Amino acid sequence: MSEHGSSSSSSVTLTVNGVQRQISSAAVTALFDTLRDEVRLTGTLVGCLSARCGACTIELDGQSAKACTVLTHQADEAEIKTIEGVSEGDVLDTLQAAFRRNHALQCGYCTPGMVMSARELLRQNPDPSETDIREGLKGNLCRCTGYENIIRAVKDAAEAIQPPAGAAASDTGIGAPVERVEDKRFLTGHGRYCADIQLPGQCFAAFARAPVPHAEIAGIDTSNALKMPGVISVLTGEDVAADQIGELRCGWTVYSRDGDAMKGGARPILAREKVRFVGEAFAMVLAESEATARAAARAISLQYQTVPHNVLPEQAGSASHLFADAPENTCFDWLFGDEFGANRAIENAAHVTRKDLRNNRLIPNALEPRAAIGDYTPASGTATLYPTSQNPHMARKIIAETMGFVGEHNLRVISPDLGGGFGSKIFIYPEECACLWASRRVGRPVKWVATREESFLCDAHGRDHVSTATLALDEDHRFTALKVETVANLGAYLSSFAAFVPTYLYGTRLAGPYKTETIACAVRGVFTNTAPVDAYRGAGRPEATYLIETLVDAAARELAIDPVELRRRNLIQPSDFPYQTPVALEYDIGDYEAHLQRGLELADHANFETRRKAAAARGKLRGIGTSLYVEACGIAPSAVAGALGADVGLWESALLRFTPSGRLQVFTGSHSHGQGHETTFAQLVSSHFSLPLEHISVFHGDTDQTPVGMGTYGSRSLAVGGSAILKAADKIVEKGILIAAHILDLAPDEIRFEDGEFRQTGRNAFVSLKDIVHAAYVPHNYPEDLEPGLEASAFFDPLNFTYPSGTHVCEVESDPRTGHIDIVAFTAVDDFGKVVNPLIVEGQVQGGIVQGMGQALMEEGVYDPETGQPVTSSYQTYTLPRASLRANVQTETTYTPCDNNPVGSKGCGESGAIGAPPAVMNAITDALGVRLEMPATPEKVWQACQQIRGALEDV
Amino acid sequence: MSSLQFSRPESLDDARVILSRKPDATFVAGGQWLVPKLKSGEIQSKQIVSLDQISELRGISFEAGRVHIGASETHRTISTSPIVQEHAPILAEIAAQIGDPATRNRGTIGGALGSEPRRSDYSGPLSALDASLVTTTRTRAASELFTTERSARFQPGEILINISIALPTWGRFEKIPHTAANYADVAVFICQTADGAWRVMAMLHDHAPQRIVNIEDQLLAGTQQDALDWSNALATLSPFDASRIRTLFNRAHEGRTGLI
Repeated sequence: MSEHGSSSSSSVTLTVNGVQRQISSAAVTALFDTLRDEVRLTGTLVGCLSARCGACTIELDGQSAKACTVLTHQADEAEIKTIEGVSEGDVLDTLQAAFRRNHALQCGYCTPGMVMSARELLRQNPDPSETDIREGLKGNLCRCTGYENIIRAVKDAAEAIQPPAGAAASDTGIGAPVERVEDKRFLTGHGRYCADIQLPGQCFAAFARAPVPHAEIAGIDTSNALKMPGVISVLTGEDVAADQIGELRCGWTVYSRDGDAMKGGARPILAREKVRFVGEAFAMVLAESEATARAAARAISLQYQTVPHNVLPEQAGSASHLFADAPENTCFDWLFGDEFGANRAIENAAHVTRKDLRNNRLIPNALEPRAAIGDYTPASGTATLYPTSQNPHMARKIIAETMGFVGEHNLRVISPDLGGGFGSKIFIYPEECACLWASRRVGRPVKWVATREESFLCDAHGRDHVSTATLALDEDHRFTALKVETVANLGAYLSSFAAFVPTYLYGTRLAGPYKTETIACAVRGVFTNTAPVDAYRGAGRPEATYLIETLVDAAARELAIDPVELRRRNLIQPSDFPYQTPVALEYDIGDYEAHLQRGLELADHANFETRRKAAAARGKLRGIGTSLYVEACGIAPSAVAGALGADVGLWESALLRFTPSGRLQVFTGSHSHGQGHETTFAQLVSSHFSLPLEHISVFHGDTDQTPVGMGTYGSRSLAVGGSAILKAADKIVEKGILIAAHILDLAPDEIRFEDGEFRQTGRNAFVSLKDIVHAAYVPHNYPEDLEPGLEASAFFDPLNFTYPSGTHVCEVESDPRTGHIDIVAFTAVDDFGKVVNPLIVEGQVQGGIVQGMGQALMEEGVYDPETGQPVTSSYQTYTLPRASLRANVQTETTYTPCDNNPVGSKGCGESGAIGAPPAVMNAITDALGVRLEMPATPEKVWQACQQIRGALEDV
Repeated sequence: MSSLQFSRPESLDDARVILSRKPDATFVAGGQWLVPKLKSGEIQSKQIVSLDQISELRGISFEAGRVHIGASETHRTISTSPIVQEHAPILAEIAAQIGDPATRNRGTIGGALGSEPRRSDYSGPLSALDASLVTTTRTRAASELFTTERSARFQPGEILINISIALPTWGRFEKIPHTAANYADVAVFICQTADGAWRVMAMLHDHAPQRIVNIEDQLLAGTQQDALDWSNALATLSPFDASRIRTLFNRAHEGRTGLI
């Protein structure tokens, strides 16, 4: 027997990836802590600490195990394999290669655990069926891929499918399905996420969080925390105020219909006078270890007097005010469009369809919890902040302004690999500010990593609208007016984009693909005692599309006409472009009939009734649903953004630098967190310069390295950031032509750049790109009036949004006995303009659709109205799609050009989350004959089936 | 910092020595339930005793007409055990569907019964199969464990040693997993015991498994599936749960084909 003495830690022997180690470990240390902190293998990632996400899956004595469920002492004498031990050197094994080939990873955060679980599956069952694979991977969450490509990869690996000979990267240019450059590091456990970074001398932060939804703070008792060994300091809102640290504000100003600017919502770094939602931080502990910091944070008690709270947007006035200057808890009462005209059209309509709709609150759940390390250097007055941020430059600007003690020029923000974002990591959060501020206070780097519970409580949530929507139709079933009245839940504070999402990103999208004559949109943004709500994948556009597509379907049902026919009758036609919508946007181009037609063909819409009958014979209710969408991406023309209340421009930047040996470095102001910029952006310049991909590297995320940029959101990276890259590339070519003209003794206008060579037009004289680069850096024979060197930077500000569009068709079967919904088929046909990497685009679409299915079928962030407590704050209570969801997605693209940006692309990252929810819900409505609110959980579906039970055979 | 201690006894005698000194020790078996709670601070303990090396808690055997399973055996081992597969194949099948593969590799039957026994997929089958639990202080019926409130389920320091079950002539298990947490949200276990009696168990959320005696009686009387009268069988359940239980029963009952 082994019994360890009274010391707080004792020694264990672990063999990790074949290397034996003696490690000192405390009794309650979990194996992932030891692997990450002691063995320094950071490929084993932590997503939930509750054995539900699988990110920390390893092999223990030859079997898969979740490292968050194993005490290090229980692994004494064990053989451990982590993701770092899977491949031989940097050569991917069969399974890893299959993941890469099938684009089975995006942000990479689930990947190590997913690979380890797939290995277990293939060990136990070398020839698994699709069902076996889904079962084998159901303990691993992936938020990016939608699982289909992962399942394909495992099948491929089982069959040891080798890529066809000669297929490897012969074409790396625009339009080629190039395997991603970034995959190798993710597949071998060498991604570098914020929590993986350790700075010398760092201490750890944890936050004490409000246990009640709404209360006046009477006092904070920190004495028990301060007594704990290893606690360095406890900071509260009083300390924040003493240091004159600012508050976080929304970056957009929205004006109410009476002309007043929006009210309230400024967010302190630590709550001082009031707490306004469960989970709001009111104190910060700094300690020598993370465990001590967390234990001490739990030991801090808040003394408070509760005041009436409210969590529901439609009852915002019932709580006592959250902000003194926002009566009835109304932040803004915004009116957009022609309300008078819409009312008149509704009065005169041949038919009016009116629906009350709720767009469910979603909790984004990037698999990597948010994290931050603040590192202030007093001697130089400089600081480095490592946040988990989708837009590091914006973080730098806002945080420097908020902190006051460090200038933007002295603050370096490094946002490394991000384990998913989906919008939730765009915003500036109190915790990262607090880490930087606290670092100055204690003179050491301060590191904080959120727990999954903190992610649920404090990450910005999405959606949460309550709407009444009215559609007016004339005798010919044409849409004469759409009137929308929405109450948007903003949560307890205004997050960075919060005011913009339910107004301009929503109201301006209400035309959709239809020629609705008049549109009016009134949105009341309200404060409630819930986590702040901000942009989540799609941001405003899913809400608008769900509303339009639900109304159109309902109108068709009421009029007893085919929903597809009603849509067709109202579609904007190709000859109508450019099309000025009644809600400000001018669509440049599109062919909605083309993707509708193709979507219906692929979905075999024509023969649906046969399938419905066959399902009925099996006791199942089958339905088909369609949705069309037009989104506005490539965010955004700065002048338009400014006119809409933005405090910023929304251009993007790039810097291209040829190194003296002819290799190319691309620095972008956007940020990649699964979208594959390192590949797609390299493909752009690979095509442009005829360079092999391995001669190109793409850099992002470090403000000291990259030009000032605006970050990644709103499907903007390729359309805006990619265009900046092409503009910079053009500048390089222009300079190269001058150098070539000098070398060839020709006039510049006699030279063209093509296929990697500067050629004399119509003749054979040429200089290679490599020689031009050499000449630029060794300018011995060089134009006198030209600077040496070969690099160029460019900024691109689009003149219009891009307008991707698509048709999604969903077919479902429901089991009236259990309420279970099967997605039997899902077809997405989208027009994204030019596709640079079809592999990546398909992955984005698949992943977005499955997130959309999550909204439609299972996801809902719930607060108990009575207590104000969150009900869904763990993976035990908030349901996310898992590998067991058969999404059955088939995708295709149609094409209309996009002349608004030089790349010609429109953006694809959000389409799935926009198109899928209404398609799924319309299919369910078609199956049941009753419209349900999202999410259509088994219980709701079952209840609906009871209403129509008379129509069913006894089941 | 308080002194944290970890012990990993290799025999029950060793464990008793440790417990005599540290009576409020926390046991950890496969860790699936406990370790995350220790990490989150939801459970705080100064003395951890790992049960995974105690030899008496290991082993699967067939003796005196019953299958005996050591409390530290994992779901994986139970599902692949030739003894379980031969004598109680339904139990192997149930074990093979618990949680996910990594959970089954580490999670043990003793841990499942020691932490959240009502949520365990084993609860209905053990109740139906006259399972008995041998602990360091007593031998007791498994069914009693499920009806006892949490605080009274085990005495301080009581260690579950093994579980034995009577063999059904056949058994079927059907479940609908909870959408988020993946334990059985509702499940049905049906079997016939050696003397031909029927057992129909309904398992719901975190309630104790419930025998549906009314249906058992009808089945014993030879009533066919389509002719079963459910009107008084599931009166205490919500209509939704009743419908799901009935559906799972039908699946299980139809699934007995070839087993009898």
